[in-house]
Formats: sequence, C-alpha cells, structure tokens
Amino acid sequence: MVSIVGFLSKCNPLRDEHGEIIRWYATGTDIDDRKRNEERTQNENLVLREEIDRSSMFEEIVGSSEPLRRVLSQVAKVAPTDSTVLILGETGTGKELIARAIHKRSNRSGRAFIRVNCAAIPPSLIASELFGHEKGAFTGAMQRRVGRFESADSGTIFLDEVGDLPPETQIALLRVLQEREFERVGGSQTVPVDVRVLAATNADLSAAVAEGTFRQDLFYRLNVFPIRIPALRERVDDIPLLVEYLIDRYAQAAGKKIKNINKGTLDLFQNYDWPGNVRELQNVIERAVILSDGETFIVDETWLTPVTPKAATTTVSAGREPYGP
Amino acid sequence: MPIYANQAILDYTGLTIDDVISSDFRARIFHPEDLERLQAEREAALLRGLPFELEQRALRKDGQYRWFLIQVQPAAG
Repeated sequence: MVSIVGFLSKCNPLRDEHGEIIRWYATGTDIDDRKRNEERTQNENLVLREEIDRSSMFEEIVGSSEPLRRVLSQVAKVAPTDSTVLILGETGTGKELIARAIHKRSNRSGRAFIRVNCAAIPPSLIASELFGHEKGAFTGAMQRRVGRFESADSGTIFLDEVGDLPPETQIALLRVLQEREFERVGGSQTVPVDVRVLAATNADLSAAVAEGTFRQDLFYRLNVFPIRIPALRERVDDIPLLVEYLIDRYAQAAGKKIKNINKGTLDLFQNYDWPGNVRELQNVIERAVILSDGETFIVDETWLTPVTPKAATTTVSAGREPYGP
Repeated sequence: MPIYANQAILDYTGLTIDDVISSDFRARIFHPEDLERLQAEREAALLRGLPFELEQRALRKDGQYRWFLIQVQPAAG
C-alpha cells in the first residue's frame, strides 16, 4: 500500500541559462512499502539464482550398490532432524548432492538452501561472505551486505570444503554453531540466526586437527553425524546404471540417439580407478557423446589415463595469493 | 535551501518552519547514504532546469527512515 503524505516544499530560486529565475516545487510520496518489497524480492532473487546455478548439476543420486544404499539410509535417518552433518568423500563423489538430498527431506525444504564453497573464496573475504558486513567495514565496502548465514535463515547452509576455512573464520563459525548468533564484519549488533549447518570436505579433518590447522572444538561440533560417501571405485556395480543414465542425459541434450554401449568400454570403465569419481565419469561421457557419430557409445582408452594433480594444485594456491590481506 | 514547507512535512519530520528553511535541512531530513548517492544527479538536474525525480529516505520524527519519491518541478518567475 502506498500512502501519500503530500509533501510540498518550495526551494530557493535559481537562474537558468537565459537568466530566467526558476523556483523549484518538490512533492514527496511515501513509497516505503514498495521499496521494502523490492528489497525482499532482490534477496529472494539472489537465492533463486543460486538455485538455478546449482540445479544444472545432475539431479538424481543414481545407483543401487550396497555402499550407496548405506549412505542413502543414513540420509533418510538424519534428514528430518536438525543435526549438523559432516559429509566426507573424495572429490567428485557427489557431496553436494547428498547435502541437497538432506535439505529436501528436512522440515526446512521449503526454505533456502545456500551453498558456500569455502575453498573458492579468498581467505580475506570469507568472513564477510559468510556473515555479511556493515558499510565502511573495510576498503570497498560501499554498502551493507547480507551474508550467506543471513540469507539461509530458517533454511540450510552447506559449507563445502570446510577444511579450507582460515583460523579466524573457524572461531566465528564455532560461535554460530554454539550460540546461533553472529556479528556482521565491522558491526557490533548481534544477529540471531536459525540455520541448519551441513559441511563437507575431501580433506582428512582429524589429520588437520593433529597438525593444528583445524580447530578441534569446531571439528567436534561439525562431526555430529558424519556420512562417508564411497568413491566410485568402491561401487563399481553402479557404473553400468550411471553410464546409462548419463548417456541418456547428454544424448538428449545433444539431440543424438545412442542405443548401444560397447562392451569393451563398459569393462574399461569398471576396471579404471576413477580418481575424479562420478564427476570424471560424467565428463568422459559428455565428451564421448559429443564426439559420437553412430548409435554405439564408445570411449577412447587414452582418455582414462590418470594425470598427476600436482601442477593443478600449484596453480590454485598461486591464484589465491593476490587476494591475501 | 527551502523557503516554504507545508504542514505535512512539519508533522512528519517534527521540525518547525524555521528548521526547514535553514541551510542544513536536507542533511537533517534525508539519509546520508542517499544524499551522497544522489548528489551529482541532483546537481545536474537542477542545472538542466527540467522536472526530475529522486527516491530517497526521509527521517520521521520517531527516528525511522521511510522511502519517498521526491518529484521536483521547476516554475519560471
């Protein structure tokens, strides 16, 4: 509802370019409700855009092997509770998918699911990303900004690669888990928040605790209900189903018809150790579908030669340097 | 600097007409962030001498800021 207050004021005369005097009349109309609705819509948009970004990942957890069934049974049990869950698994095993499954089966499913990749945000910005900041909190903080925890209020926050959090942010996260409240960067006001925390890591957190790079008290707070996702090589029985599912998906997207899977290719897949797990399988299949001319799915053996990740790791850490404090 | 304000402004702001016609009126009423954000736009519009609009927050007498659409019209003479 917009109420009109009917402001009217008359301002000092000014002369225009022809020397004519101009008087200014100003009227004011109360548009507060509209502006606040706009702000709300903008916040909702942020959350929705986030959803759209993520929904392009594969939507289903595919497989029927014993190790996967164990995981899904754990998901079903923990989802309706409000417990913090720590999802462990190698890169590409689908930790985010499990986190989304937990959120979808929880009482918070109608509210936001906010994902934060702790490894992708420069250490100097992560506190402001998680907890927001007040205007002027640091150079470049032109406006007050709402953090991910506030965006996730009454929903779920998923902290991916939680092992990469810098020490000072670990303290702040511990406080949110214990007290359910935090302060924005540069602010003194305490913000209460009702958020379920799901965290994931491919690192060995107990080793990080032993080395002193991860706080022991935070580890205990996060490790309330650990779920370990098996690597793809531990669930080779799921490979044929996954291959079929993924071929179908990529063939549809590419407008191709693939009817058969080469037997040798399937054997090759089941004997390979998939260091990049389902994500690697997904990439190989997408590539093969794009390149395929006939109706039979076939993969070149050379694509599955493992590469040493050393060079990639060096690039990532070097890339983060310029953002340091 | 304003030279006149109607009763609605006085009721909303809790200011007297003397407060309104003083040079710091705008700084007392409008949100500092909006003044800063709109300063260049407002000055340019005043020089053009054509009608213009601004959206900014005005301080109510109870200390709450509310958003207003301010429509400004020039009149010769």
